[in-house]
Amino acid sequence: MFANILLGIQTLASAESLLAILVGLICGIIIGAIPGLTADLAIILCLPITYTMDPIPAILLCLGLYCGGTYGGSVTAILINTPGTPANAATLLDGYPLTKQGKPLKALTMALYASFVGGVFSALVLLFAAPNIAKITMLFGPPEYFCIAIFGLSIIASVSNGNIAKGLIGAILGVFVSIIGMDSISGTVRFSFGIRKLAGGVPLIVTLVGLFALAELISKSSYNPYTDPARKQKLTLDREKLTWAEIKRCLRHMFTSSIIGTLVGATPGTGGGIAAFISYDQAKKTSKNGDNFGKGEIEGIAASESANNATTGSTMIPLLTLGIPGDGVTAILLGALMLQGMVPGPSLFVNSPDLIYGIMVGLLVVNVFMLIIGRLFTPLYANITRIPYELMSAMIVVYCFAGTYSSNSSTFHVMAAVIIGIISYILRKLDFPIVPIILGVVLGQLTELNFRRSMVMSDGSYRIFITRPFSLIFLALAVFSIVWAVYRSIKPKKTPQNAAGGTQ
Amino acid sequence: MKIKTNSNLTSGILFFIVSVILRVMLPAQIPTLETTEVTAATVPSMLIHGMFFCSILLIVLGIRAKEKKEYIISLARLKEPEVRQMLKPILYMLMLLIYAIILPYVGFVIASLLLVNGVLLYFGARVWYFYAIASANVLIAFYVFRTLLSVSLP
Repeated sequence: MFANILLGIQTLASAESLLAILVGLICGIIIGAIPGLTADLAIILCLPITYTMDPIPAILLCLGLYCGGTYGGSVTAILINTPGTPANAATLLDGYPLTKQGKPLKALTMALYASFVGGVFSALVLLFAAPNIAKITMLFGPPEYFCIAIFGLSIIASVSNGNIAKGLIGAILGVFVSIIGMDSISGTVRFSFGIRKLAGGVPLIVTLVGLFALAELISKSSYNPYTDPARKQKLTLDREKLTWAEIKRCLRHMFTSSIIGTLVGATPGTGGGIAAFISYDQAKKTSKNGDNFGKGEIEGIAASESANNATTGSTMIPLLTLGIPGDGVTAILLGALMLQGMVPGPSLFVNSPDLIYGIMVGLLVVNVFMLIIGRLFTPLYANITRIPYELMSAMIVVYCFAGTYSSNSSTFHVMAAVIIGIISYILRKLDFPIVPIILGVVLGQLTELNFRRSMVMSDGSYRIFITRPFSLIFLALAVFSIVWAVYRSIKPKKTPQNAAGGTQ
Repeated sequence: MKIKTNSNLTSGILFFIVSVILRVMLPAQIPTLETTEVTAATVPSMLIHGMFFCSILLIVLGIRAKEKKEYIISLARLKEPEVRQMLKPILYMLMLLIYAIILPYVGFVIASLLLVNGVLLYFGARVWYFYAIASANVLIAFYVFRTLLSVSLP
């Protein structure tokens, strides 16, 4: 194996490969930061460029776009409360509050470090454990996927801000949006209301732009620049850097979240968004500062960003070892590999170890370059908050709509995003938490599809979810997650009076 | 007219109505011919029932809560500055809706130029170069998407 790794390093050591990584990363970060554009789109658009390139630089360009896009989405999540990609939706929960406290630099730096840790961890796992992990996930069937999705949805209990009824309604709304359109099992078109364009469903990116970007813009529309006291004073950004104590505090979460992200990413059909939310929830439950999550807790950013970048390497595991793409991005990467004449699968490890190990080592190098480039650009990003809000709003809205349109080249989806944005604004005014909605949207289809397949497998018996060991494990984790969240919400909080009463 | 309510009560009533409407529409909106126990309508039906029960819970929580805000609904209140400030977002939403409606007819550049300048006017921006920067940004976005990213904007 080490001989193959050295072979991979030799294959990688060329100016073309390193330039491909650099260009891919920079473009990926910029594209990932634009709400409405994702790493998938970036890779698709760059595929024609890769036709004329050698295999390794071509794939490294795509990997740079992938990793850069996943990290880049955290920039807008932190600075303007809008995730650039679905994988960054959990980052804004603590990232944006930190920006409002005048500490965007701290939040952006933590996002970068956490992304680096998650990405490197995942790349190392890919390098050393790929074949073994793929064997375990191949045992997963519809019952396991359903239980993983339920585990993901159980997070609703802890992100509902104490009102589980509203959280559940939010999640129900999210699942509803995800099932609009043609049912993949029966072909029945559901809740299209006679609108032909809705038969294809509502793309995830349209929902995200509406839920976050447009709703945020509408929420801030009552802003008056002439009565804002902050505009009269010279805005000083806190240049306070991350302290070593803060990094140390977050290390545990970074590693735990990297493990979670790697396991989730290795499971086909999941993704960075699910990994980020599961990790965020676990960090909140296990942290001493759990009550501070959602108010600008740096550990929240560390958990979500480590997890979403940790999926970048592990999603490649089923792709490279079995030729099965785990999500949309790896499906496109599969296309990129095949365009280069590489057919992923066990035979590639035997016949072309230089290429396969070149790709796996390349992913490590991509993450190192991401750290370097990120460190250079982070202070620049932080200054974006100095731009007057009215100008920023006018500029952002253009990219939101352009990005939304680009997902399906459909003006109908632009209207859909506006309507979702208006509904999201109304829900915010009624104190509905938005996170359960996005959880429902991200996990809805996965949950329903695998539930129905499981019922077909078991002839309608629900016992299938408890007789299979991995399903039982995930279900137990889901139940534990809910019970723990409820316990924490009803546990009397320690106040000075309580503490004094206890000691007397 | 005076109303005393809180967000739980308002949300509960709203989603009670939504769940009833969806339940009535369900058979027409999911015309499945499946005969199995679990069909295309199973999960949507479970979701609607879940929404119904959660809305009842919210109504109960809302009625039991001691904190309720009193709202006076009257046309005369439209003249009050506070109420006008609260209604400002409606104007912003209308701008976005109009943009989405005219986009297919006038194209991305014209619709976006109208929108960005409308947004700046809405916020009362008086600095001329804000309008110039925002307008230039529309053209830059068009160039980036059309030429560099090969996305054919309307």
